Amino acid sequence: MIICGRGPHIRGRCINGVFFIKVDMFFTEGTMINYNGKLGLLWSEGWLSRSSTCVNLCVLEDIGKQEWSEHVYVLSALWEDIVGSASLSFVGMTQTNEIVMRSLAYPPSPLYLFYFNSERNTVVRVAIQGMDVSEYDRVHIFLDHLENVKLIASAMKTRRRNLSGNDLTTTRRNTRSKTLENGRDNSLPFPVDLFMEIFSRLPVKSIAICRCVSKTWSSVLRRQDFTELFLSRSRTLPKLLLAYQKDGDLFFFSAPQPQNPEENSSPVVATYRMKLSFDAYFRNGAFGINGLDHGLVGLSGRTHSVICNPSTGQSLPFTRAKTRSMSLFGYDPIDKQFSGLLNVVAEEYQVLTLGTENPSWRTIDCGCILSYYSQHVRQKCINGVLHYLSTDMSTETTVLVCFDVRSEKFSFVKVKTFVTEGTMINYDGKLVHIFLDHVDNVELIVNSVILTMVNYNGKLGFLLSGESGYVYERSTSVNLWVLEDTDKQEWSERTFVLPALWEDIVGSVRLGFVGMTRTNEIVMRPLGLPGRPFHLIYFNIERNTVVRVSIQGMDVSEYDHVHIFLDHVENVKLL
Amino acid sequence: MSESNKKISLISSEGEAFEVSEAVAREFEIVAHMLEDGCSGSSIPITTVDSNILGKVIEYCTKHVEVGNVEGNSEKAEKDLEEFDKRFIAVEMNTLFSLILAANYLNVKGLLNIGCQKVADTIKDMKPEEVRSIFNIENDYTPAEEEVVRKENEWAFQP
Repeated sequence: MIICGRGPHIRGRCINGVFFIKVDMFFTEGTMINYNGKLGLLWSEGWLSRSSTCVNLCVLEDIGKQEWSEHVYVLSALWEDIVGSASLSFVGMTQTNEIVMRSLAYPPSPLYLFYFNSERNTVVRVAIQGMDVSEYDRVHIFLDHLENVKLIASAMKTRRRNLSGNDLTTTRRNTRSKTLENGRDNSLPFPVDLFMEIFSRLPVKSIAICRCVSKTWSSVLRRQDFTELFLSRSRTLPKLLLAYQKDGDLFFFSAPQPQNPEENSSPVVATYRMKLSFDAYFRNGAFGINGLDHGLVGLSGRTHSVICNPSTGQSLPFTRAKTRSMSLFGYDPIDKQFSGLLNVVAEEYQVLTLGTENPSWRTIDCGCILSYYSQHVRQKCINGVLHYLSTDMSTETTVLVCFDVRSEKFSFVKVKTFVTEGTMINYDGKLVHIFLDHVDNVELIVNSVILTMVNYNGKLGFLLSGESGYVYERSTSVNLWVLEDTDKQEWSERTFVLPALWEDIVGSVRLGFVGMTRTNEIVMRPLGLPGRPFHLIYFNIERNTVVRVSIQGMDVSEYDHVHIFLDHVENVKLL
Repeated sequence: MSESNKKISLISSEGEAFEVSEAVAREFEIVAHMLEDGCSGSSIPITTVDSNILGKVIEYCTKHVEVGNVEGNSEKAEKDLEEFDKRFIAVEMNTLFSLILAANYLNVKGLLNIGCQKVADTIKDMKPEEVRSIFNIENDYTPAEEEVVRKENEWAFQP
């Protein structure tokens, strides 16, 4: 509604969503205020000055009936002494019902405000300093100003939108409680930052339940800043996420992630999180799985890709335009959006940005013909750059593809320095890097992808042991190749010598890399040991210690098929 | 501490004065800042907190200052303090809310932390109806809207 006033000086006031304009029914220049949620008009007879004896307040009790009530406040005995020779005008009324007045034409003194507390019948003069203004009469004064972090929507269309289609907008109410007529209170019990502080301590499940309490609660618990707060709290207690496939379902478990585990540390217990039935998307159960940032997991099969949130049990499937393609997932940390990327045929790439108004596939040019490896490609997204290995078909060399999710630009880094003798092959749907001296052992090698990408202090790294992707009891060291500079194609190599007790701790075993934790522990898993208790090996490169951590609570016969994700965080965001 | 004997009066919203040592008053970060900014007055009005709650906040800060001053035997003291916190925060909901608001305003971090945690622990396993009742919230969803939001969060209602 737009109200047109008579002139530029018309003043209006909005209380509880109803916009009031002033009426001349009191034949006076009243000042509009919010009096306990009702419109009030403050006025006095004649100029407000030392000779005034009382202040009048008219309150609009009922709009329909046009009923007004009148209150008269007698000024305190000391009024005259406090006010002095000043002429006053009304500023308004605070939420604690103090009538505030200002001095007019009171030079050369500072700006004075007078607080008249009608309940205690006191008048206090408050000097305002710190403003270098010559004419205080021209200063506009607003009481009970709240600081608001919300950005006012500009003409630019906002890019983010709730995908569920439920357009619940952020509450416009201020955070102070407002009691409704029936005595029930529907706004927040606390200022919004305090509310979020409390709710960020709840488990994800309880947050989902609290979203059903009321619309206001739901809108706060869906806010991006709440999601971020929850994530940052979750990051202080990262978890292990475990997933395994049984029949047509993918089962997710999570367990507390051991923090600097010590010898003989107690086993960690995995608890069941959710089940994803993937039959609809991945017929015959063939799909690739990647742990994404922010507690999400990306699955990609021949025709569909799915992003799922194991903390909320939600999954978001999207169909691809063509079959025979692979899906990779990137995250833009600035716009906080996920992008799905795939190539349909070798030279054609398509990108889909989730969370936009109408997500649709866009074709982009990567400027290079890359080999296509099916859905099982491993990826690592670090600071908005998605990394994965592929083969440049023109030179037939292995390259590291770096895709900047935000700018949608590709760059390619040679990996010849450390991937010299082997070749990349697509064996049985898995991307495998084969080394000549292991060819006789192909069956074992293809059990998992050899090259493990890690986030090493914000840089991309590859874990290797010698030239192999496996570690054995006779291995002496673990190598980490770190991409120091993408533009200059600079790699550095670090070698971490395994401690003397290595062989005693791991026994006779072949280990694969799981990854690296944020506290720079290299985590390995034994392979080919069916029936033995499930455990992981933590190699702390700073303290040069190796610890075995058993994982209980999962009833799995083939531990080799359990997908393990380190530093998992819980995300409350609904997809 | 040379100034540990200095007393400061904290005035509640009703105008009641609570005399505390400077060390206790400094537990209120808002007061600590005022003192650092050179507010030399010995009485500080805390206009948004009533006597009942201000008394409790002072009790909390006094205990924490006392324990902080004891040298040695830290493990036992820490356990003691944990016990104290647990008993201290076991109050009915309205008092708890007032304590949190006061701790937030006065910036008493420890109290704010245990207060928020207590509320979170209380509602952790509740149903929406129970949450509404303790916060006195009216269900403003229409039945149709409620069905949608319930459906969206269905997984959370499963045992």
